[in-house]
Amino acid sequence: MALVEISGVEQHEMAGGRLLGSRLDAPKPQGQSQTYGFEIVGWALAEAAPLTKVEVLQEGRPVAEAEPEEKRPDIATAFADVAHAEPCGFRIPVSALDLRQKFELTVVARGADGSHAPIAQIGGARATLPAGSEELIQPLMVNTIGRSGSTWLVWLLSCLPEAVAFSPWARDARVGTYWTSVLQALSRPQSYLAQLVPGPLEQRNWWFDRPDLRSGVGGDQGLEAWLGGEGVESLAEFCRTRIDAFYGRLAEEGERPRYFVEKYLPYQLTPDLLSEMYPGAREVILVRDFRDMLCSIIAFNEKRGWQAFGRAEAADDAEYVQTTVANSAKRLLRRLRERGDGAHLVRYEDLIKEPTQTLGGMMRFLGIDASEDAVAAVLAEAESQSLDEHRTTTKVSESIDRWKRDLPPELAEVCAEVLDPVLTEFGYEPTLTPASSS
Amino acid sequence: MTDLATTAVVSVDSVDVNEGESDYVHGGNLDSPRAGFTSDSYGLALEGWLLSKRLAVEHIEVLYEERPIACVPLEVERADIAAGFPEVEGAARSGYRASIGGLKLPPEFEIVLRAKLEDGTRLPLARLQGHRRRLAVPGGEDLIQPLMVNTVGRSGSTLLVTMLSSHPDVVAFSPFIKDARVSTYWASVLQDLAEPSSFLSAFDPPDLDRPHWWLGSDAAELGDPEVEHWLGNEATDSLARLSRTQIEAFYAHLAGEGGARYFVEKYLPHQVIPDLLAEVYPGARELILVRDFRDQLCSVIAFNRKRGWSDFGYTEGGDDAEYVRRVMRPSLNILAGRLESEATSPLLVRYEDLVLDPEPALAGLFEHLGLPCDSELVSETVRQARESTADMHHHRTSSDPAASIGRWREDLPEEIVAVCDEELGDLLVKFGYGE
Repeated sequence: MALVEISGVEQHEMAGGRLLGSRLDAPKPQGQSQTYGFEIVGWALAEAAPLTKVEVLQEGRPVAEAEPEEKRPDIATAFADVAHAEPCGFRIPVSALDLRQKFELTVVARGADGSHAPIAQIGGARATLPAGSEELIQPLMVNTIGRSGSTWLVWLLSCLPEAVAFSPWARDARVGTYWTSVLQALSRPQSYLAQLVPGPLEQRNWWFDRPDLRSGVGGDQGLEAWLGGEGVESLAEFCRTRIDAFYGRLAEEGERPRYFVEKYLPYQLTPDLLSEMYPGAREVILVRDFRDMLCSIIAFNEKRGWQAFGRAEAADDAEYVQTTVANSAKRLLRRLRERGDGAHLVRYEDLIKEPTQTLGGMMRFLGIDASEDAVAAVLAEAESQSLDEHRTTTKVSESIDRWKRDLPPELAEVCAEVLDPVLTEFGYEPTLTPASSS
Repeated sequence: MTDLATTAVVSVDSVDVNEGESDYVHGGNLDSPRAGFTSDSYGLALEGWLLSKRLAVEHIEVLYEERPIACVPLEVERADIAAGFPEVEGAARSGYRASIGGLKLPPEFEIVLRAKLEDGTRLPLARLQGHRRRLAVPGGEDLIQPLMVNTVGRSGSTLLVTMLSSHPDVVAFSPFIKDARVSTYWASVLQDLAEPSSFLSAFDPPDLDRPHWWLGSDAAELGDPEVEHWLGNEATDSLARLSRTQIEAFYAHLAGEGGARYFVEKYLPHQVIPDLLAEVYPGARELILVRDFRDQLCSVIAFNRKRGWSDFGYTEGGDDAEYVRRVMRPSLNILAGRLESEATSPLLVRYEDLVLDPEPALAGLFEHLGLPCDSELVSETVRQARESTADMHHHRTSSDPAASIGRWREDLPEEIVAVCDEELGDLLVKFGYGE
């Protein structure tokens, strides 16, 4: 059975920019792989100087890369006038566990001067990981962006008798993310092939992320296929066992909770992998008016004295809205649409203004007792504790619509331009004009 | 409730520190650990300071068996040292902190701290002795057990692994083509994930975008001693059991329906892996393979020359005498020490016996391992091994293995023979090359 199927490869015949030419030789359309991975093989040649790397992007984020350094005598002959033409080939191992189940990839060539040009688009699908037992403690995933009220929601959910979380107010536990990251790293051929072809054992981390390890180095196709297929599935079970052991230990003695609660970020692949590995995985998509969220991030960063939540990567607040905030909001919307009934939308504002109805809706989604008494008991338990230092406004209700008060007009204009389409999809009023914020 | 006080994972028994002023330093100290220190997980943090006089400190090294297992700069702020030495530049950042994975050390260990100065001078700073809890992984009797060939390069290990894997109850992956280290791989995964700096990174990870963030960070304590204790103890044992499961899956697949009793792999003398495997496999066995060290030296020199690059610990431009003293002597010393190990009851195997008279040598080996060893089976095993190795000329540096025995008399210059006598004489006698 094929573990990866390529549905299409679109070559950019005239990529433009400073590229003289490029071509993907593999994968081919309708190509298949018997392992959780495949290779992208091809060449790309720039006019002035050798390219520094070829990147594979998924949703704008790199999932694999390589330096073009493979010798291509055929290209050297075709471009006899270009001195650096021969080492223009590339061979990039791509691990399927770094990809969405249905994936769209963009292959991009990058030059030392910052120039870049797309070479090709690759579409395909990978097999899902085998699901584990329903008896395991299942993930309850809060997929959200920072400063959206996720700590409160994780705390609230951890008050469910059927759920467990590790110290939500004190620590940001990412045990599910930790073990899926281990799984992703060890599932790459650059790691598992180190069993057959060890490098210098004195070097720290000799056992993973070795660019010299590519399909075929083990000299036994059958065994390599086993390592990249069943071996990966066995690894997934390994990691699932570790997550279950942690939350089993955390649960009260003699109790076996149904869910463990953790936060995830919109770009992460972890919720996809956990949904495959756990038959009872549930996902809550938590949003907060992105304009209020932005105000909260700016205030929180000022309060702490350093830039968090990806703000440091943008030159100013406007660029932050146009890049990080807009991308994350769009990813959450896409996630909600893709997951359909598998995900439940929670708006922070509803959680604050109508906690009983909102919590009841979540409990029904989770398939647990959502009677009036049960909901009231969970709310009473949750409200008995909170953490004031996490807040940037004195009253929680004051944090709703704070953007109308706090957001500078020029930033509101940027929000109107890039966030309004997503905001309205999530049921928020559009920004309209900056004047409306006064 | 777990009694945290009675379940030390790593304990420090003694610490000898070279403190005070010298020609090189104004002062220095190892502040922690002190003798009597115990750790709740497989981690050992070393903290101290050093203030040099004229020559800058390049880094602080932590050595086990004379090999660096950690290397850290002086970069920890020390206000107390700055106050004590106000006139000395660099006093404010004269501290160091190194984290050592407990599973990178054997159950009884001795580690050495030293400073490397900018001119290459090494200053010994401290010597620590201690012990760690052995992994507690019950069961495993029915698994394919490790058969560990512990040796140094160019001692005939590929020949021995091929011979062993030609037995129907022993499995190895293409021994004459590849140098598979499946158990070393999984033990290395275990060693790294068992470090507190790794498993604590699951809590408040600072940057999920940082490559390999899960392998380690300056993670703070968890704030929940019970859970942290569990992560450092039972969770590590479970991780060891799961690593064992992965090794088993590989070799069970390779062995196929017929199964196998042992998988055979090579290990190097400085590795702690054989100790770890002996802790998680009840039937682990170890073979100490040696070859006349002078012939081995000839083979290393010839093999490096044949390939055109230096290997087996030979440094570029280094001389043969230095190689004997710096690389061979420490490695062979470790092998000699391992012969006394109770955990794996090692058996000494001499390359010369395998080459000159393989059938009785193998029969004795199989008998020691509890494997069928009737003469027909042994002859067939030798025949198969010969067939497997017939075409592997790339591995050889002499026309015929038997001809390579005693080659040192022809190949080694007199002065190197003298160095071998001086540096390796006692070990040659110990291993039966008493000439």
